[in-house]
Amino acid sequence: MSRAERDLLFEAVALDHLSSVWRVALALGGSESEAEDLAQETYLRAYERFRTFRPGTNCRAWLLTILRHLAADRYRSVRRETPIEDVDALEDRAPRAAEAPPAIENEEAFLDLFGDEVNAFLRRLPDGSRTALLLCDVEGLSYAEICQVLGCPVGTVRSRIHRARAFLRERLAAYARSLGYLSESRE
Amino acid sequence: MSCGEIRALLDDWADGELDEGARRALEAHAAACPECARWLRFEKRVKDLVARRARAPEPPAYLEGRIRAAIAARRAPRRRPAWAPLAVLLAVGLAVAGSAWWIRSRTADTLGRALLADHAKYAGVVPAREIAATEPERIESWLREVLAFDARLPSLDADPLGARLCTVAGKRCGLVFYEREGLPLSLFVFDRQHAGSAFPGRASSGGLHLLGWGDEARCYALVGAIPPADLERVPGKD
Repeated sequence: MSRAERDLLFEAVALDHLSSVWRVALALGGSESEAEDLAQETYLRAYERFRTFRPGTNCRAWLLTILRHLAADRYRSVRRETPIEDVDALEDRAPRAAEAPPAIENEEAFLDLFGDEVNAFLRRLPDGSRTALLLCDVEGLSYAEICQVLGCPVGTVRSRIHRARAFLRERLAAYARSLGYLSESRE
Repeated sequence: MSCGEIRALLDDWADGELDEGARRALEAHAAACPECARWLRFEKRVKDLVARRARAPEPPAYLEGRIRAAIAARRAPRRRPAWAPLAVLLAVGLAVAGSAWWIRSRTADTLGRALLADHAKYAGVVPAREIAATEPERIESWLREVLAFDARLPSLDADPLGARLCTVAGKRCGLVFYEREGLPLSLFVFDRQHAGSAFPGRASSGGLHLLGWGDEARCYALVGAIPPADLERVPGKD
């Protein structure tokens, strides 16, 4: 493949994923200007390494992997201001068989109940759990693809997502309950 | 499947990570177990909430153009090794022969910056053209009609796309759009009488570079996201 052909292919397959790169950069970078820099840096690095990309494989996961490495380098020494939850304590908190499920009083209104609370809860998660959950729920990546992006085994990805969801389940249910939209009554 | 097993598989189910057999067994259980069904619904709601509320807005419209320009600027240096010796010779030669040109007045600097900024507006987007033509003769003819001087186009190693009238730093000029190897180039054509003696010869900003030259009646400024050494090669020899 000539250089010109490779350049055309890069623009065709890589720039198509700018929205995903931007969203994840925003999640990792915080501010919009940081996300812009991170997204640009990701594409420049991807362009330099495009020779190693195999057409037909998941370009979005490949780009997000580069992004995750760049973000890790960039924010390695940055301290987060938001306190991080100890989600390890939630590891075994899958709902138990005897535990009653939250009863949503109004299914239609439930999704509209939450605004910034969701993002506020997400910010309290450790980076690994938050990123895994966003890649799964927002970007729709499979666990295997998230493994590739985060560079960790599938068991770790599954565990991070389970812990993040358990944390969110608890917080969101408590919030909805406080507003009277959830009850614990059994059917 | 027991209720306890179902509860442990909520995430895998919601994320589509269960194999077909497990998914069917789980859903069959839930169909007969209201509490597990409610857990599944709640799990799905939590996932939907994250997808809906954590979704960031779309990237700003200019970001793609910015990235394309950065890639274009990065693309050029790779060709540099082949040109490097020639580029150095050219640079030294130009520096010696045209030192007066390098010592520009403040006016030239201002005009150079304005020209670079004007080109930046078109990088990554289709320029608004008052004439869309790919034949240099048609563009030249149009420029002569709308500009009050004998505007001529130099021979460039680039493909013309069209042109428009333009005012940069208070000076009226013709702006001709070109493309070279997929990169946008802007050629500004000025009447030498109005451009004044302080016309920029070289200028750079934000990955964009300008090359200026002229003849007895016209001044030209060529701007693009390619290195000065390559920009130098775009104008023909005539």
